[in-house]
Parts: sequence; structure tokens; C-alpha cells
Amino acid sequence: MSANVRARRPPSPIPSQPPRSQRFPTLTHSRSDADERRTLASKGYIPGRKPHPSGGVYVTSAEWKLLILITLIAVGIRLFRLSQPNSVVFDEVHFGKFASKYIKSQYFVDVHPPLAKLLITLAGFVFGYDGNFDFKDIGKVYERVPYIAMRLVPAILGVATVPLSYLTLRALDCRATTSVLAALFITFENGLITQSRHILLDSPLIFFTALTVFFWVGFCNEDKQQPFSDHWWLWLTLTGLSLGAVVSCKWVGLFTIATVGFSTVYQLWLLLGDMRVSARLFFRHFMARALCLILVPALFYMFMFWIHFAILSGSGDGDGFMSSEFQHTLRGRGMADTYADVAIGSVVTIRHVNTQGGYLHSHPHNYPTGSQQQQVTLYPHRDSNNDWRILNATTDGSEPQDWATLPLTYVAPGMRIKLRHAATDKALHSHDFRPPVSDVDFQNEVSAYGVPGYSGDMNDDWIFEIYEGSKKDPQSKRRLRTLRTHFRLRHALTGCYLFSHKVKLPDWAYEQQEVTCNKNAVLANSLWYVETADNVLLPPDAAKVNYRRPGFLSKFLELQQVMWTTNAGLTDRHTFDSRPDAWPRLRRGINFWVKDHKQIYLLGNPMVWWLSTAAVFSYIVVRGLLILRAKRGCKDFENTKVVKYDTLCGFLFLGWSLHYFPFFLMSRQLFLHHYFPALYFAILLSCGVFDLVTSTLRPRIRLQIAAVLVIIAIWNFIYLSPLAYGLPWTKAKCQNARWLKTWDFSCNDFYDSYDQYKGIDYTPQPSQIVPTPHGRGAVVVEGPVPIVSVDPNTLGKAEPGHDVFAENPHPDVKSDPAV
Amino acid sequence: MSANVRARRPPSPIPSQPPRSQRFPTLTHSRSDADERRTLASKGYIPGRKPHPSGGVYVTSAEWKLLILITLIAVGIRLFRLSQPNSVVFDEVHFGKFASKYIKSQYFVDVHPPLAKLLITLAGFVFGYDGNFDFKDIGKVYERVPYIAMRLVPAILGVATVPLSYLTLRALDCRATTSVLAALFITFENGLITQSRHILLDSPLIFFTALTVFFWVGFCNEDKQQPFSDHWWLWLTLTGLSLGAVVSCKWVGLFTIATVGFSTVYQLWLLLGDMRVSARLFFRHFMARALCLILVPALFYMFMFWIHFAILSGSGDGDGFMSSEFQHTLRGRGMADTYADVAIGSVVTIRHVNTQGGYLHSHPHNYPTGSQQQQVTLYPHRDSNNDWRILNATTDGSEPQDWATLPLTYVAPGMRIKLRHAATDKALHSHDFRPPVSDVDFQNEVSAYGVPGYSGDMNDDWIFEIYEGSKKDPQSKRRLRTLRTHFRLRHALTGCYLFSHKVKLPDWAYEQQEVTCNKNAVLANSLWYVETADNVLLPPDAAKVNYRRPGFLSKFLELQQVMWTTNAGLTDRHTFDSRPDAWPRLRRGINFWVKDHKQIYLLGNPMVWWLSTAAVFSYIVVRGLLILRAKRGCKDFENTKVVKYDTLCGFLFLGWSLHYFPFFLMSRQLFLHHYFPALYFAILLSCGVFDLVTSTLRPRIRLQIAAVLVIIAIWNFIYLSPLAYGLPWTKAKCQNARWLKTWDFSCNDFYDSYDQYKGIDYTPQPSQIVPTPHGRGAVVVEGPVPIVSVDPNTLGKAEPGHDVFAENPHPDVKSDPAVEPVQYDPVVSDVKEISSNQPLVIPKQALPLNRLRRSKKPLLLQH
Repeated sequence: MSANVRARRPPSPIPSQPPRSQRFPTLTHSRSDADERRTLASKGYIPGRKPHPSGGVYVTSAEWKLLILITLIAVGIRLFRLSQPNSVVFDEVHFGKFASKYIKSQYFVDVHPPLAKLLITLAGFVFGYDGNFDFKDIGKVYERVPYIAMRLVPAILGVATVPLSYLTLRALDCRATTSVLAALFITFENGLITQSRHILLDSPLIFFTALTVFFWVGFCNEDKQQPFSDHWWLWLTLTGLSLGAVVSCKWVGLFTIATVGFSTVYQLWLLLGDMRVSARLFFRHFMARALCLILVPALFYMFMFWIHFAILSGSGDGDGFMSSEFQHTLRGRGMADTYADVAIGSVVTIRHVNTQGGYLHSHPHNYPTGSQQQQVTLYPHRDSNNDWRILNATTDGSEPQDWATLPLTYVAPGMRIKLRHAATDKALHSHDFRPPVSDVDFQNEVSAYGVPGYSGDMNDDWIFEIYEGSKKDPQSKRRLRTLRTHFRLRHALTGCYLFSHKVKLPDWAYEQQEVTCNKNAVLANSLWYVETADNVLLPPDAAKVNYRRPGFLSKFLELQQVMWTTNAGLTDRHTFDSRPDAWPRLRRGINFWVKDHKQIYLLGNPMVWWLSTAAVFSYIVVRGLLILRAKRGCKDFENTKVVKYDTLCGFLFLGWSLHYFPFFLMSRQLFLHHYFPALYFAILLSCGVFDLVTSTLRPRIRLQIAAVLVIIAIWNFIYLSPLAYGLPWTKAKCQNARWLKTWDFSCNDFYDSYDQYKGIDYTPQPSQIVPTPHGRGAVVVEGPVPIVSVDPNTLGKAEPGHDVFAENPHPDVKSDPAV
Repeated sequence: MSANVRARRPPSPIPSQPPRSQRFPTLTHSRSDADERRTLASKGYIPGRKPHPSGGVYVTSAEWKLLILITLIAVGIRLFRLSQPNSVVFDEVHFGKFASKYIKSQYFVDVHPPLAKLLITLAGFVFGYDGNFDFKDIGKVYERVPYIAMRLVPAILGVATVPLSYLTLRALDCRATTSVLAALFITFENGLITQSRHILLDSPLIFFTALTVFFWVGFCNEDKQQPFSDHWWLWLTLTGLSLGAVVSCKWVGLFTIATVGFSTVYQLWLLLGDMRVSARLFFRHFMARALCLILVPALFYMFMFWIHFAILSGSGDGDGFMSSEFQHTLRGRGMADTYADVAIGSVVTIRHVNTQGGYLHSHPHNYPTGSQQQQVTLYPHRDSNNDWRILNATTDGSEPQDWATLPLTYVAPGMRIKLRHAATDKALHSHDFRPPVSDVDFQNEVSAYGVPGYSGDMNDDWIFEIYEGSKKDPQSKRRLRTLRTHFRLRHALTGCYLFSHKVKLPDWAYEQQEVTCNKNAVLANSLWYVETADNVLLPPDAAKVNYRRPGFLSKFLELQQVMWTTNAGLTDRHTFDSRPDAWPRLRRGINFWVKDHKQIYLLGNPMVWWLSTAAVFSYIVVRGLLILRAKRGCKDFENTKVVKYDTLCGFLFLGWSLHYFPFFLMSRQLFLHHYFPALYFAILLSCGVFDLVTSTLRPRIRLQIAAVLVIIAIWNFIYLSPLAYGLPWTKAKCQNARWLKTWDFSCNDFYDSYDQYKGIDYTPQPSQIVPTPHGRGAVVVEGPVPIVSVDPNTLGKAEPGHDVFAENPHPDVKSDPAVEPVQYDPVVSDVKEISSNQPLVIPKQALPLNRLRRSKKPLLLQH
């Protein structure tokens, strides 16, 4: 599968025979095919022996000129009218917003790692963006945003992918014609063009994927020549860095890591079978790869998050997803030191451990159900309604003594206590009523009950139980210590535990989180801790504590977990989502932007796309036949040409499969642009197949075939380019361009003739796009997404993935003022 | 991977050399090891050359006696006190209920294929069960149910698994000692014992899995001797039939099919590499296997469903899951013929195509929201409130002409019509109000509006559009034909389509299904058809139609789809469910039954269980090392012994993996007993490892080791047997037996001493078990299931899988009486109790959450 020719060497030389020279000839030999020399000669290249260039990338000076020409074409194609549309397109909603937040240092949480977003932010920052544009809706016109500079980042990386594809194929020992074909295919791929012209993360992702593949192929070439040379180390390290960059753009980069990983394991497997390789040498090979392909990417990835945390030092709308310790590190979220000890009479705020629901809270409103007593909830913000005073309770229910007159008594396990709400002077109470939402037998309602002065009844009594303390504070296991002790509160009479879970109460409780007393409590959800404690009896110089500031590593790991959970939760349907099986067929695109009777719709170049898919399938069929033939004793694999193309196409096919098939396992929302990394491999594979098919033809004919293919591709590109650039188009042309019924760009949005576009081009009009609000009630989407006719009102919804935080603006929980 | 020795033959003989005799020697040779002969002689067996027996199963007459003895032990272990407990245990709730329904011919839907249930029913039927016990709760005492006969079916199949394991290992060329060990391990496996003593499907499943493995091993032996002989065909056919039986017990049997399939493909792959095999011969091999291993099981499986349909001929509580055509085939659900043509003035009932929601319905109750006009819903039962009269509408909104005086006008595409509700004389109406539940911009409320005599306004007008007709009735594409035409109704003024989806209205609409007018309608949900049509203008001899009676094949395919959907939907948590990673560790069992201070708890024999897991892991490690060694040039695989045990253990490991790993992909509720087929393979594998490890020892020592293992296994079995049989136990003993903290049988249910059990043994008391009701509201289960202490109240809940239909006693969808006093005849209201589409109900508590998400209040601190 890898580009390593050692595959052909038998596992160990048979001692009785002279070692067979079955080896695939090195590059220098294979390049000296007669027709290859003729091709080169026809183009004016100097024939003859070529020295081994670094990474095996042999490019003549004439080719460099050609490459520069192609790159210039790509620049023209990618940057044409980059300033248009001058309004927000598709997911610029999210990534623009994230750039604003980076610039304003407001903490946010996104499902993607930071590298690509940081690059975009950098461009915005250098060109003076102040972070004050809100990127609210698709179609919103930019004001004082250097959006062209920001769009330039993906665009330039998109351009750079073109020469990379050329160099990769050259390093894979393909002909210059083939490489030119690949570069032009990628240049004129409408989907890649559309994706790279906007503030999106996929263009950086594809660029780094292509870069990794190029470095890896170069490394494999070096490995064949001379392992452990300086160049060998260079290419290996570059591969590692590039791998780190891929995975720092999007987690999809893990598939690129898998591709390189498989290739590495295969290399090592062949080395293991090579009896001339000593165990020590094998170990060196192994360690070098482990170092550069595992450690280097990991460090790079973590470094990106280090930058991320360094920039996002202030509080923002992502706070609510992080733990209290994490929030404490954010500017504007810090907490003052508080007394370490909690005694009878202390005024405390009590926080739930497992959910982000917040503090044990009560306010002067009653439950409309059950006992109709005062509500007790969890509330995520600091507020005087979160204050509770700890009082002693006697077992016989008689009047407890006044805490102020008693000596200081620390709260210890097994103690029977009452919690008195400071603002309303009612006690935390539970009784045999069902809670308002979790209406099940084993849960009891928790309320605040009592009148000022009345000491309360036995239902106010709770037994204090320590679950665990902190290792660094041994006392926290023996008595209640602020922040350090995790405890449970058992209701003295019914034996249930004070409990909360991620269930919101209805409007009448301001959508705060439900608190109940649960007889079957899940342990993690019945744990609490004291966040602040105050006691007039304690001297002002008594020991104080605060949250431990988490180190980088624990912040990093916490964020990874939050990202993973959020990513896995993105299962809603989107109007333009699609499943992986539809991608290779180019069944459907994505509507990016509709405005002023123009439209941007992500759709590939059909000819390039379908050709690449055909190449993949033909590879599968031919490889299958070869395996069957080999089983029946045919010696195909002793043919140098078969081995060369099998190695080349096998590697590209591996890349395609590993960037494509894992998506079938993902139940989250998927989009056409998730196929792009796989598409890159498929396009290279199609050119590899072209190289094979035309290998017996004369160079002139080969060139002619390539020219025809390129011309068809360019024609396809031009035909669909109004959708890629958002250019004026006519209804009739649009209807003609609907080659598949399932391409659902809405032709009705275009005018009937080009004349009608005159004059209105620069008068921004109110957008027609009403983004469908997210997270609705009982709108059940069943069956296939309706293809028949797309209502323009449903267009223009950004991919929801990225702002689970922004769209669901997140705990709008409000507390009602106390008395 | 397979037991086929062709693996050792090089792909093609090297022409220059004489063909190497690297073949693994045949059974006859390998059996003549010196120590083997000694073993045999020491037991009095006749040494010497043995002929090739059928299937390679060489069993001496002395071994037969031994085998009969072991089987008798197994009978004793499996049937001991089979009549106790005399009350319903765990999933007997479901399978007993299904037996009742078979006997009463009441149609039901279950997620499992019918074979095992049919066997149980047969036993019940033969012993005179009348089907009148309801098997409602765990712990309910049996009355007039031949439950012992019904339990005998799984028990006998469980017993039969024991000799099968012996014969399988013998056919795999293991020593008699090893085979005895395997048979005794299986005999004393507490989990298999518990599972086989009750009316459950797993014991038949394991039996047929074991049977398939045995037949397949026999076939492989025959294949090595002489392909295409009579015996070869016999064993192959038996394998196919047995495969059909496995998959007809539970769909998990597909894993057994996969095991045999992999083995077959590997055999064929080796054949393909054998250059002496001509293409024609290869084709014969291929076709013989395709015939016997694909066609035969498929036919067997379908035959089981044929029996299933033949027995379940009457209507029952599974009706609601099937299509109208299917329901029409059930006794008590048939429909009378109806006029084929629909004209202006016809009284029709209109049915929704895509959901099982039923008929377009209205009743004299108003929406509490929106326009507050009369409700329009989907209602699943026949009722006069489903009748609508089709009237002509004029484009200018003027009074339409009286239909009775007009000539007969068929309803054709593009026609503008009104639908007048027959009972309340109001017209089907839509307007710019949001529907009560689907409160979104692109949906409008649909109501019934108007007063008798008033001809209505333009919002009553609908444009009739034909979507498709039936191929057999060409007219159905040109005009509205009853049952044959699928049509859409477009609202004339707003352009939205009459629409319904699987969303239930709240209590005030009797939880009937919502009907709206949708501007963005999913096509399938906006299709309707006319089920009955009546028109006084039509002559009585006009053409009539009825549902087409579906053939067996379409009924079969429809049921498969329903089973699949239901199975995939079983994702609720159960108190005793577990994930696959916990199974090989025997982390946790299942509480089957608690009553009278006794308890049945499904738990394996720890020693047998953990030994089998250890064997699997040691196989993986050793095989991995062998691969690495082979890569470094070691010639291990030229050693006959390595090859023999690699083939043997490799096949068993393949079986284990294919019966275990696929569960990781399943998100549905899983239980410990799903591991049992894999456990069978693991136990055989552990015995194979024993055979290998002891192969260099003297027979006496080997026997001693085996004896020690068996004694430990029996000790384990006895230690935990009160949990398997539901015997009296003491708290102290129970606490001692909790070797793992995660074994959550509740020791507090036992008495402190055995004395307290005296006298109360046969006085049935009210059960302590309150099955937790199913399908609650917003009880969110987060994090791991609490292990710490199990409240007895949460015990005793049957595996919910099997009766999505019974436990959610279903939508009590009720229609409210219309103006006419007499609405339903008693038969109809009976049916009403049955039809069930419960999974569709939106939990009421979910609504506040939805509402919450919609609000976008700014993040403000209130203080």
C-alpha cells in the first residue's frame, strides 16, 4: 500500500539459491523507459541520468516554469472577484464570529481545533479588524470587516494545493503530463474553488492533507535511497509537523494520520520480514517514526491549543461548558478567596458537582404543582439567592440552639443539619410529593418551607455525608471544607439524597434546573460542594482557599472532552446535509448563499468528480481480478509495471478509503464538503490510472488525450461557474445546468435575462433569506429530505455544527429578584 | 480458520519437485499417537486402525456409555425442581404471552422469528393449555398452565447441548478426556442452566448453534475424505437445515451463518488456489455450498414464517404495525367491497398513506389553540366520524350546485373540491394559524369549519392532485379510484398540502395524530387514498374493489421490515442491561425472579467463564507471537502439532469473535445472555487449549488435571446453585458468594437462616416485585447505572424488547362521540383497545424543554 518498493523483496533470502534480483528497479532505472525519454525530449528536457534529488522529486527547470504558469492560472481562478459577495456566506457566520471572539479575547467553545481559525483571525487582525461585526445571518452585508483578507487565507491555501498535487504525482514517479492533468483538474474543480473562496476551514484542511501526502511520499522515496540521512530526517519531521497541522484544522485530519499510520505500519512490517535488518536497526526505524509521526504531531496540536488558551483569556459565551476550575482561570470569572472551614452558622453557596447547572438556589416563587411550596432549583450565576445558612438540627425535633452563642462547631460526617435560605428565611425541605418534571415514584419534591422565626419540622433535616475529599487537604475527608469536600445530603426521614440532573423546569421556574430528592440517586448527580463560605465567628485571618488553577494539560484535556461530546451530539438534520453514499455520485450540493437574484451553491466539477469515482471503482475491480489471477498461479506481480502502478494506486486508494469510509460510522450531520479530502486522493488516483492507461501510447497521443480531458473539465467549470462565484445567471441557463434532478439549486431565484441584473449589482437589498430557526419543538423530519422543490425560505441556514453555543444561546436561566 | 487441512497444501505443486507430502496426516494416522493408544488401552478400548466413520466422528462403544452417563447427569442438573418456581419468571412474561396468542390465533408482532416460540407453543398445546393465562407480571402464580411442559422444551434442548459439545470436540480430533471436560463444563455452567430452565428462547438458540457447529465440523471432515459422496451431501444438508433453525430462533443466529460462511469462503479460497481443481469442479463445490448453505436455510426460515402466518390468522394486538393490506388478511379485520369510483357527492373515508395513523377524522371538539375551530385529526379505527362528502367548489366562491341534481361527475385531477364532514356538516378548512404542536411558519392549522346549510368560504377549497395510480388499474391515474389512487390535496388559497406526521396531539384531542397543511410537505406524508366510497347515484352493480390480498412473500417481507424497525428501536435502558465489554468478565448478572425470600439470578459459573475468557486471550497472544515469529523466518507452521491446534483453535476463535464483536455495533439494549453462543465457543476453545497444553503429559496426569478442573467447576456450581434454582439461602452465604462487588443480587431478600423457610414454601404470597412501568416521561438516566444498592422495587422488570406492544399498553386513542348518540358497535370499541402505535407518543414532559430551546433571552444576571 505504501510507496515503498521493498514490498517486492521476499521475506528472507533463500540460503540455497543466489539472492534473486526480483527488486523493482530504482527510480533512476525506471525513468529511463524509451517513451519516457522521448516525451522529455519532445518537451526539450535534457535526457540522461538524473541524480537522486531530495525526496525523489525530480523536476526539471522547464517543469518549474510550467508549474508557475499553472499556479498563476489557479490564482486567477481562486481569487477572481473574491470581494463578492460582500456579505456573509454560509459558515462564515461561525468562523467570522470566532475570529471576532479571538480578537476580543472572549472565551468560546467550538467543535474544531484552532489552527485554521487562528490563521483567519491573524489575517483579520493584521488588516485591522476590531471584532465588532456580529456575523449574525447569511447575507448580512459586511461593515468595517477586512473580509477579503480573511478570505485570502483559505484562498491562498487553496491555490497552494495545486502545485502540491503536481509535485506529489511527480514524486510518485508519474509523468509530467499526468501531473499537469492532476494540477489542472484540481484548479478547475468547482467545489474546491467555492470552498476555498470563503472563510471556511476545509480549504486549510485540504491544503495540509495534500502537504502531508507530499512530505510522506518524499520520505518514502528517501527511505528507499538511504535511511537515516539528513534528508530522510528532514522529510520525516516535515511529515510529522504537517500531520499536526492537519489535525489542528479539523478532527477529520485523524484520517490523514491513519493513512500515514497504515503506511508506516506496512513499511515496518516489511522491514520486520527483512532478515538482513537487525533488531537494533529495526528498533531505530521504529523509534524514529514513533518520534516524528506521533510525538511531533501531538506536540504541535497541543501547542495550537496553548495559543488558543493564551488568546482567549477573557470570559465569553463558552464559559458554561467548562468546569468551575476552568472558568476561574478566565478574566471576569475569577472568584475571591473564601474561608476554608465551614461551621454551624456559616453562610454558604452550594454547587452541584456533575452538571453545569450551578448553585442550589431558591427564590420567592412557589411550585404550581405538588406541595405548592417555594421553589428550589439550580441556577448557574452568582446571586444572593444562592446563600444558605447551615444550622444544627436536633434528633428529637426540638428547637435547635442559637448558633451564634455556641462554640464554633465544624460540619462533620453524620451531622444532622438544616439549610436555611438566607434571603427568604425558609428551610430546605423535602416530603412525599412528586417533583414537577421527574414525576416518578422514587423521587421526592424539594422545596423551601417555613416562616421566619419558626424553627421548622423534621422534614427540614438532612444528614451530611462526605463522599470524598481532596488528596492535598487531608482534613477535607474528615469535615466539610470549602471547595475540597464532595458531599451528599441524605434526607433524614425518607433516606433520599438531594439530587439534580439535566432536566429543566418549565417557564414558571425561569427554566432553571430541577432539584429533587432521589431514592435511587445516581451517585455522580447527588454530589455537592461548598463554593463560598462565610462565618462571623471565624477570625479574619482564618485559612482561606480558592479553586486550584488548572494547568495547561488539564485545561487541554477538559476542552477535548467537551469538543468530543459536542461533536457527537450534532445529530439534528440540516436542509442540505447528505449521507456519505451520495458523495461519490455528486448527488447534491449545498446552498451557501442566495441574495440579489444570485446564488452560491457548492457543487463539484461533474466530469472531474465522476472520473475520479470511476477511477476508484476501476482500481477496486482490477485489483480484485489481479488477486484472483494470482491465486490461480498467474505471475502478474513479477511484472515491474504492474508493481509500480499497484504501489502507486494502492497508496492513493488507501488514502481515499481512510478519508471516506469512516464517515459511514458517524451518525452526526454530514455535508458534501466532508468528502473533499477523499476527493483529492480520488483525483490523484484518476491521474494515476491515466498514467497507466496511456503508458503504451505515443507521447503526442497521450498529450492529446490529456488536452481533451482538460478541455472538458474547463467547459464543465465554466458552465457551472455562476454558482461558484455568485455571478448573474438566467433561469433558462440554470435549468439547463440541472444535469441531475437532485441538484437542488433554486433556478427561480435568477432573473430571466442578464439585462435585469444591471444597476442593482451594488445596491444591497434586504436579504430574502430567513434562516430557519434552530432547535424547534415537535417538527419531526421523517423520510428522505424533500427534493422536489426547495422553498427559498428554507435556504441559507448555516451548518449548525459550529455554534451549538451561539444558536442555542445557552442557559438563559434567570433568577427572579428576591424580596 | 476452518477445520480444513487443505490449508497446509501449497497453492500449486512446484513442477520441478516431487509433490511434497506436507499434508497434515489424516485422522487415522494422527490418532495412532503412542500415548493416545495407551490412553485407549487403559480404558479398555480396542487399539488398532479405525475406519473413517461418517463425519469423522469416531466414538467407541465405551465412549457411548460415558456419553450416556454424562447426558443423564445433565438431565438431572437441568430438570431438577423444574416445576419451581411455580410463577412467571423474567421473560416468560413475553414468551408465555406469545404462546397464548398462538393458541388463540391472535396476531402479534415480536422482534424474534417464530421457531422457538412455536416449539414452546406446541408443548403447551399438547399438554392442553387453553391460552387463557395472561403472564402479566413476573412472580404471578401459574393457574391452569402446563408450564412444566413448556419449560421442558428449552430444558431438553439445553440437555442436548451437552452431548453435542462432546461429539463436536471428538470430531475436531480432540482426546476423549478433553471432550468429557467440555461436556461437564457445559453441564455445570450455572448461566446455561438458569437460562434453559425457563420459557426463554436462548436455550433453543444455543442448541441449534451447537448443532450447526457439529454438522459443519462433520462436513469438513467428510470434505477432507471424499467430496460429493452421499455422506458429504448429508452433512452439508444437515448443516443448512440447522443454520435455518438457528436463524429462525433469533436473528442472532445470523452470526452462526457468518461463522459457517467465513469458513466456507476460506475453504473455497483454498480450493481456488489448488491448481489440480478444474474450474468445473470448483463450480460444483461452489454451487453445492450455495445451495445447501444459502438456499436451504432461507427456505427453512421462510417456512417457519409460513407456519407463523397460518396459525396467526385472527386479528390481535399486532395489527396496528402492519399495512392495511396485511390487516385485511386477518380474521376480524376484513373490509367489505366498496365502490371503485368516486364522484362528486360520494361519501368517502380518506386514509393517510405513509403513517399508520389512520383516517382523516373530525369530532365535535374544538382546538384550544389557534383558530379554536373544530379539530381535524387522524384516527386509526373505523368510525362514522371518518366520513366526508366530496362537494364541488366553484372558483369564484359562489354557491356550488347541489350534487344530487347534477350528472355523475368523477373526481379528476385539478378539480376544486370541498370536503364536508358527514357527522357535523362542517367543511375541511385551513387558514393562517399555526397548528397546535408543529408550531412552525410553514405549517397551517387544519380545522373543520362552517355551519349546516352554509356553503363555506374559499378556505374550504382544495385542489385535487393525483400522485400515482395503480398499474393494474389504468383509470386510477386519470381519476380518483378507491384504494388505487394516491393523491394530494393542495389548499387552493395558500398552496399548502394536507399533511400528517407521527406527532400526537395532547389529551384534549385524545392523543390522535396531528393533521396540518404544510407548505414544505415531505411528499410521502402528504399522500392520501380513499378507503371506502359510497354514492347514491351509482348503480348497485357498479364496479367494486377491495384491498389486494398480499401473497405470502409480501407479508413475509413486510413483517421482516417491521421486526427490523422495532428491534432497532429498542434503545431504552433496562435496570439489568449490560454492554458487551462486561460480558467476558462476568461483571454482572440479570435478576430473573424474586419472591418468597428466594431469588433467581442469571450468573455464570465463574471458573468456567473466566477460564474460557483466559483461553480466548491466550489464543490471541500465542497466535500473534506465531505470526511475528513466522515473519522473522521461524518455521513453526511446518510442525504438524502447531498446524493441528492452530486449525482447531482458529475455527473456535472465529466462532467466538463472530458471536461476540458484532454486539459492539448494536446500540440496542443488550443483556448478559446475549453472550451465551459466544460462551459456547469459548468453552470449547478452553478445552482445545487444555488438549494442547496437556498433550505432552502422561494420560494419568492429564486425567488428574481434568478431574481437578471439573471438581472446581462443580464446587462453583454448587456454591451459586441457590441463585440458579431459586432455592432457600441465607443472607450470610449470599454475602459470601458476592465475589465481585458488581454482582448485584440482593442478599437482603434472603432469610437469616434456613429454618425460616420451612412451611412457607408452598404458600404463595403477594409478590414483592413491582415492575417499573415502562415509557415514562423525562426521567433522564445519566452516567453509569447505579450499582451500589439495588432497591428491590426496581427488580423484576422483564426485558422490554419483546413487548413494545404489550408494555406500552398503547395509545388509548379514543374518539369522542359525535352528535349522533350511537357511534361504535361493541366490536369496534374492542378493536380500539388493541391497536397500538405507542412509540409515537411524545412524552408530555418533553414539551417544556422544547419550548425552552426556542427562547433566546439575553444572558443577564437578574441582580
